[in-house]
Amino acid sequence: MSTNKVQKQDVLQAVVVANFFHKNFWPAADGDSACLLPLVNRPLLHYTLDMLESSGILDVIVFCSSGSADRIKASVQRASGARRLNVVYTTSDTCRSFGDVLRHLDACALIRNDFVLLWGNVVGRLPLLPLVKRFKTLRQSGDKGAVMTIVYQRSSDPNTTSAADQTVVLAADTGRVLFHNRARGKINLPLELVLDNRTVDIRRDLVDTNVVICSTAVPPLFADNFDFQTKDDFVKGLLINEEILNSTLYAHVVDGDGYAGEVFDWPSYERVTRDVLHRWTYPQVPEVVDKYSLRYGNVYFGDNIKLALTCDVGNDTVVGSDSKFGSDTRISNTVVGKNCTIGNNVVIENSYLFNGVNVKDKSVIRFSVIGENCTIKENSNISDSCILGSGVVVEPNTELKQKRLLSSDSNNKSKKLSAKAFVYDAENNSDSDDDEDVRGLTFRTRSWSINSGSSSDNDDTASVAASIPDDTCMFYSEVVDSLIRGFEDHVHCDNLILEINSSRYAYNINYREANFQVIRAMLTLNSKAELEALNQVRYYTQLQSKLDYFMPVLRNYIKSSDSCEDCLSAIEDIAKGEELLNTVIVKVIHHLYNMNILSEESILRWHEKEEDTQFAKNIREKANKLIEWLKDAEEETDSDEDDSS
Amino acid sequence: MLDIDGKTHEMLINNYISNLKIKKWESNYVIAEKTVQLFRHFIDTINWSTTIELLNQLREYGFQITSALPLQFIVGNIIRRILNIVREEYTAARKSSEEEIDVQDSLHKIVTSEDDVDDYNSIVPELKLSIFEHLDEFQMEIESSNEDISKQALEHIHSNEIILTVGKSSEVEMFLKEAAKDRIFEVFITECSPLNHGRQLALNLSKHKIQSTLIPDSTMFGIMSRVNKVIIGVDSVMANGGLRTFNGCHAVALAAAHYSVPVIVLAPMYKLSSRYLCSYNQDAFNEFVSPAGVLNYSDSVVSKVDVYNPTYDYVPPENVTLFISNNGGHSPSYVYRLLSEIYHPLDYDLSVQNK
Repeated sequence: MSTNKVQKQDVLQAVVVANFFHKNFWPAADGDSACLLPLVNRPLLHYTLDMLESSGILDVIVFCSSGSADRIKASVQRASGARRLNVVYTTSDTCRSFGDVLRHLDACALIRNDFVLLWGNVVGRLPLLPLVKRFKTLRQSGDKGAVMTIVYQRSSDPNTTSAADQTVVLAADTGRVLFHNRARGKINLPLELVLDNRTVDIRRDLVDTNVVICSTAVPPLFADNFDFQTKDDFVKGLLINEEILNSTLYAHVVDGDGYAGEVFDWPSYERVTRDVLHRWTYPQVPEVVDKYSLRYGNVYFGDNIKLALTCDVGNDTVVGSDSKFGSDTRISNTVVGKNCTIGNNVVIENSYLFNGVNVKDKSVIRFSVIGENCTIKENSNISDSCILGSGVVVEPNTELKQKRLLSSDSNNKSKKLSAKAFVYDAENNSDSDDDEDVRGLTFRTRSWSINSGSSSDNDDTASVAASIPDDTCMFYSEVVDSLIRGFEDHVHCDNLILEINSSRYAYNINYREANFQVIRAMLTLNSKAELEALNQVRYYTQLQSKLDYFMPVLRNYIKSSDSCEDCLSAIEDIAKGEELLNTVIVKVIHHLYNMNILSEESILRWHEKEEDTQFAKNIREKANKLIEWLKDAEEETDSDEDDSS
Repeated sequence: MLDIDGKTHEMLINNYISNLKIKKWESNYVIAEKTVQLFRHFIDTINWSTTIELLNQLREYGFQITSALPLQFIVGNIIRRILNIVREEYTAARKSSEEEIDVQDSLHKIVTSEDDVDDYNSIVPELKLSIFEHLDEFQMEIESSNEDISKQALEHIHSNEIILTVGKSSEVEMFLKEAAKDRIFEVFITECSPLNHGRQLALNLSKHKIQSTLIPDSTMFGIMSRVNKVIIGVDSVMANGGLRTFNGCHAVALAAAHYSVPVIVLAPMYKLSSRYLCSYNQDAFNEFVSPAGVLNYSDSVVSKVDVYNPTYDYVPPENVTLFISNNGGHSPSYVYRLLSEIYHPLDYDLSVQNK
């Protein structure tokens, strides 16, 4: 009985998120079941499950949306590697992001132990058990706050891979993640990074693998911080609030001891397919997991295929079982699915044909993806990252470039090309924002995808820059709301503090910023209209009554000399904008001093601080009287003490 | 141990195949043992009344397994051997009931025998029992094969000789250790990159107080003129006496031929395979593993270069001087005879159902 229990505790779980929440592969696959997208004629999810199985993990939780659950279950049952896995499915309709999935996991309480978290699009071979073991010993002996080890892969080609545009700063000795940024171009590194650590690695050659090893603390962290949507949010949030949440992140870089590739858009699909054909994922290569025979030049032939004598098959090519090729057909760098029929004089280069595709004579396909059971009739030319959904029929003599085609017109947004081919026109659609990031296959000859990539980058950096003040503004307005409501409804101050604290976590505001904003909010409770009606005396009495009411809140926030400093600068900041407060600023400071909120030293220090602006000098002049009085009082107490002693 | 209880044969076979595919069992010795265990279980649980039923069922399973694992020659060897054991026991039982016992086929008998192909249809009592006895013997043979080989070490390694070996092989390690009990000699070990198993062997031997030197693969030719004998292990022996063995052995064998150094191959009987190499582009001869050992993935040339990392080398029979098996020494030209002794000709092709 007892041994049984011990074994239960040691079970290592893996969570596979089989829902991508993006439409990068659309229309070849929709967002819900994109993990069933065939990569070298095998669903992506099978690669992931096989990797888990071969690294010795037995308990797997698969998360999928309820719409695709049945398809995914059916597919997993067919997977050879999954037979030995103990797969549990969990579904939810409300999940809209990665963060929601983890909150869902937290709610379901499925996690019993440290676990491996990965997406259903990870292909490769990774010795996961040693990584988990290292993570455990780290938590037991070194850093109790370690919540996550992020697995990165060193990029094969840092100049071209789109995924490499992130900067990670690691502590060289421990591998702890100190800084993470996705912006391209110039980035600002805080100086403390270098000052606090003896050596740091600043790396820009890392690619996400989307494999992370998490402690049980991760799902609750997501649940507490309901604004975490993605893993990046999580990483960013943890790094900013390291002291508050008491959690640290570590990184492991895969180089030489394994391979892991993540398929999240067409360029990465292309890259991972190439790596599979070049056998980096061994033993997950076509002829081991399925019935293929390998020829030199990384050519894989399935069972029972028919090639015409004059058919020319180039390097890096896969031909699925039961496919037929006509004479004088040339094919290279291409994956052809099962049961495909290719006519005579066809040219196929750098393309991906899924199962059951029928290509008629003299067609040309370059840099394109052809979905299941498509038919391409005579003399068609499909090139430059066309993506065809399943069941499309292309009429003879058609030329297609950079198009996405569907077999049916579901929402009347597409342009009709023929009976079973509708062009999805990204520009004219209202939901085109979602598709901006969708990148096609990368060409060697054209740079269409690269252009679109760089244009979206500018947007990214802009939005990052704008989002930081946004958070503070939101926080400020929320604090004002809570305070006004609190004052009017006579809410107990403890509850107000709780409210303000939760908004502080929600918007990632640090302590000092929070102090500053709370004071600001408190001094600006009156609306403009009210202010105009009030004269100076009445304004002050009203302000004082409010300050008195919020005294417990103030006491909670203004504790240290640092916070006093924040408080004073906030007062100064508000006075700058408001005439009325400007006139009573000395009174306010004096009042706060009397209430033991502001300490004497901090006021003196504030006063002594050299300021350039005329306004700051004016304020300090005004406060001269108060300062003199303070100094006198100090001397008096000093002399009193002298007398008594 | 195989987890045999309560599983159908289908599940057992799938389990077995996937275990081999994910390389759970690394060494050939373990694979051989597991295969014998699996088929022993099959013979025990298949419902059969006549021997032909049993044989057909076993051949079907064997075909399933070998076609799923075309690269694992050892599996096919064991299966054919077990089929032969069944046939032998049947014949022996039939003969003993009819005439005098003559289990051992002589060459003369094989040549002169007319095609009195038995239909394996008659029911033989106690056949299962005798098959199991024979299987036990076979299992013993596998277990003790390394020891039996190493017992012959003193006949081949003499004092003050210089031995060269490639990579790490358990047979070679045991052989050298056995010889070192009585003789003093020197061993050169090539690293055998990219797996570099040679390092492990060098470490093990030096712990055993054998004077050993680890050399890079490339310097093997320079050393060869001083070497008295090359002793290597093998993955499989092909039907013509050629070898499927570690990468780099062909170069060693050629260098040895150049300096007329004898090449001795340690091959237990279960590594004798009934296959031939017909072309270097043949399906299911070589195994190409991840290029990670040859080139780092992070090297930015990866996308532009095709990298091959084959596991095996083919050494043609003319470059092999002597095989040492657990039954003694044989020359490469004698391998066909050994094959006909341990495998039945009808079992060479498992896909064809015999009547």
